[in-house]
Amino acid sequence: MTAMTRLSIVFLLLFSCSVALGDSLPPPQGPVILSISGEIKRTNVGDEAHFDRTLLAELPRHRLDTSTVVTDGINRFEGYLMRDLLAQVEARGESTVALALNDYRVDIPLTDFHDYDVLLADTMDGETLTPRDKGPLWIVYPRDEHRELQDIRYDYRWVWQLERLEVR
Amino acid sequence: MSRLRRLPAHFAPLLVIVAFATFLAFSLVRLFQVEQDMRENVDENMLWVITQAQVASHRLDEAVNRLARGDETANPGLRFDNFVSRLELIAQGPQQRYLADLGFSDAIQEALLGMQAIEAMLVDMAPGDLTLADQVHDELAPLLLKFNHMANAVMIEEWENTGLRLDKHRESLLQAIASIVGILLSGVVMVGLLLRTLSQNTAAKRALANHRVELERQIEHRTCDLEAERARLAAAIDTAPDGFAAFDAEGKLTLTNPQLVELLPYAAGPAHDQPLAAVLDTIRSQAGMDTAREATATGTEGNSLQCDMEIPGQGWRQLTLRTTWDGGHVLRVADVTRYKQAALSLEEALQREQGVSDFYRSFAATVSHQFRTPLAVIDSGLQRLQRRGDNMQHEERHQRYVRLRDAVAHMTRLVESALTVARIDGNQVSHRPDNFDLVAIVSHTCQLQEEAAGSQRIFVQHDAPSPLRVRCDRALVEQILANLLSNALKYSPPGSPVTVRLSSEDGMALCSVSDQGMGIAPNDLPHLFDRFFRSRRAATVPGIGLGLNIARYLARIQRGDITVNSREGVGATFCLTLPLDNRGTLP
Repeated sequence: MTAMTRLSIVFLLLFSCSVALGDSLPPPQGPVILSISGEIKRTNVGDEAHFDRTLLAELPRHRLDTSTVVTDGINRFEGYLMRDLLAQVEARGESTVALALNDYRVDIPLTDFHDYDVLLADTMDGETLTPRDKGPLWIVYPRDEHRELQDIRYDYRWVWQLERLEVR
Repeated sequence: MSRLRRLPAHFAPLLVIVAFATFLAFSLVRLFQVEQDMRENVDENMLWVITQAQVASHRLDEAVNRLARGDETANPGLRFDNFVSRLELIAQGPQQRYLADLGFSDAIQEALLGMQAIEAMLVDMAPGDLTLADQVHDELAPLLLKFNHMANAVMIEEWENTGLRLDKHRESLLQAIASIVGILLSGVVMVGLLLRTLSQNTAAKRALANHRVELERQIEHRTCDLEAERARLAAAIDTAPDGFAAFDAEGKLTLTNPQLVELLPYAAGPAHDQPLAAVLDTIRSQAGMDTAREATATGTEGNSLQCDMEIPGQGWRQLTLRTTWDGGHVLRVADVTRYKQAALSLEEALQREQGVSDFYRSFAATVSHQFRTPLAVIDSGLQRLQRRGDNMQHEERHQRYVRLRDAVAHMTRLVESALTVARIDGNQVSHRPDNFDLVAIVSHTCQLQEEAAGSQRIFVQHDAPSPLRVRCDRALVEQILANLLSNALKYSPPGSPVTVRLSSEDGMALCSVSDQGMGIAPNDLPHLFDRFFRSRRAATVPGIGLGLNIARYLARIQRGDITVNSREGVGATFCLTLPLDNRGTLP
C-alpha cells in the first residue's frame, strides 16, 4: 500500500466523519420562537438549538382534534410532534423542563412524547397562536383519545407560550 | 301468599342484597362524581388563573416603571402580551362562565377596555417617560383591586365547594359503607340459610341412603326367605310320590322333579327345558288322546285339565294341568294304576254280583214256567199207578214207568238248559278261546251223538283242507254242535241222513248241519232263535225252546254266528260260522 493511497483513505474517512458529525442544525434566519438546551446532540447556536418558524417547518406537520380544560368544545390544533422535534435535536435525556414566556415552569418526562402523539401546536382552529393568547407554541396532549390523559397530573403539562426546553 | 311461600327461603335476603347493591351503586356513582369534580379542579385552577393575572399586571406595571426610569432591558411589550394572555384566558370558556356566575362579567369587560387604553399608551412610550408610567399605573390600580375581589370570591367559592364536596363525599361514603354492611349482613343471613338448606339436604340424603340400605337389607332378607321357600318346595316336590312340573306364563319350565320322567316317559321334555306346549303335544301324540279320557273343569283359579291315560307295561297315570294365578301352569302326574285296578275289579265284582242275581231270577222264572207240565205228567202218572197199580198188567205198568222216566229226563234237561240260560243272563259264561281243529271237534261230536242216538246216519263232508284251524272254546263249540245234531236227528225221520259239511270262506270256517225233515214254516223262521219259542209242528217232539237260543249266544260270544235255511217238507240247514285262526299251533 503506497503512502498516497494511505493518505487518500484517511482523507476519505475524515470527509465521511465530517458528513456524519457535521449535520448540525442550520442557524435560524427569522425571530427565534423556541430554544432547546441540555442533553441534545444537534445544535446551531452554541450548545443550544434555536428554532424559527422556518426551521420548525422542516418537521412533518400533524393535526389533532381535542378538547382542553380552558376552552369550550373541540379545538383543531396543527403543528409538530414533540417526538419529531426531540429526534431532530437528538435529545438523550429522561425528561425536559418546559419554560413559558410567563415564567411558567414544569418538568415533563420524555416518555410522554413516545407514548402519546403530543403536539407542539402553532395554530388553533386555523388561527396562528400569538403571545397575547397562548402562542407562539402550545404543548397539546391528545386528551380525548386517551382516558388516562384526562387527569390534572397531565393538565399541568399543557404548557402554553412555550419558549424554551431544557433536556435533562 | 301461597306464591310467596313457594319461593325458597333465601329469596328474601337475596332481594335485600339487590336493594343494597343498588344503593351502593348509587353511592359509588356519587363518589365518582365527587372524584371527577376534584379531578377537574376548576376552583383551584381559577384561583391560579386570577393570581397569575394579578402577577402579570404587577409585572407589566413594574416593566413600565423601570423603562420610565431608564432601564433599557425592561420589556413592557412582553409583559403586556402576558397580561393580555391572562385576561383572554379569563374572558373565555369555562373561566368566563365561572366568574360570570360569581357576578364578575362587567369587571372582565372593564378590564379588557382598560387593556386597550394601556396598549394605546404603550405604543408611544419612550424611556424616561414617567408621566406615561403614572398613567399606566393609574389604569392598572383599579384592575388590581378587581382581581383582588375576584380572588377573594373565588377562594370563598372554592372553600364552599370543597366543603360541599366533602359533605357529599362523606355522605356517599357512609351510604356505601352502610350498603356494604347491609350486603354483608344479608350475605351472612343468606349463607346461614344456604348452610341450613345444605345441612337439611345432607340429612335428607343420609336418611335416603339409610332407607336404601334398609330396603336392600329387606330385599336380601326376603330373597333369602324366598330361596329357602323355593328350596323347601323343591325338596317337598322331590320327595312327593307324584311327578310335578311348573311352567311360567311364557310356558317355560321353572321347576320339576325326577318322578315326573319316571312316571311319564313322554315328559322327558321338561327335563330338557322344552316349553309346555311342546310337552303337551308330545304327550298327546304319543299317548293317543283317544285312548285317554279327557275332561275339562273350571275351578276357582281358572281352567284345569285332567285326564287318565294308560301307558302300556306301566299302568295308569292321571295327568292334571292347572293354570296358576300368574298365568303359569302346573302339571301333576300321579300313578293311579292301583286305583284303576281296584276300580276295575270292583266293577267286575259288581257285574258278577249282578249276574248272580240275574241268574237266580232267570232260573226261577224258567223253572216256574216250564216245570209245571212235566211235574203234572209225573203227578198224574203216579196217581194212576197208586190207584190201579195192583190191577195193572206188567206191560202197562212198564209203559207208565218209561213215560215217568221220560218226564224226569225232560226235567233234567230243562234244569240244565235253564242253568245255561241263567248263566248267559247273569253274564256267568266264560270262554277261553284257543286254536283248535274244527274237523276234529266235529268228528268227535258226531261220534258221541251217534252213540247216544243209537243210529248211524250222520255223514261228514270235507270241502275245506284239514285241519281247519279256528279260534274258539272247544267245549262251547261241542255244546253248539251237539244241539244242532240232536235237533237234526230229532226233527227228521229215522233212517234219513243228516249231513255235516265243513268249508271256509272270507276268513271264517263254516260248518252246516242239514237234515231231511219236515222243515220250518216261513212264519216261524224269524222267531226260531227266540227264547222258549216252539213251533206248533214240533209240539209232538219234546223240547223247551232254549237250545237254539243258547247255541247262537255261544256262537256269537266266540265272534261267530248261526244262520238257518229251510224249505218246508224238504229239510233244514243250520250253519255255524267261526273265525279262522291259521297262526296257532295244535293244542
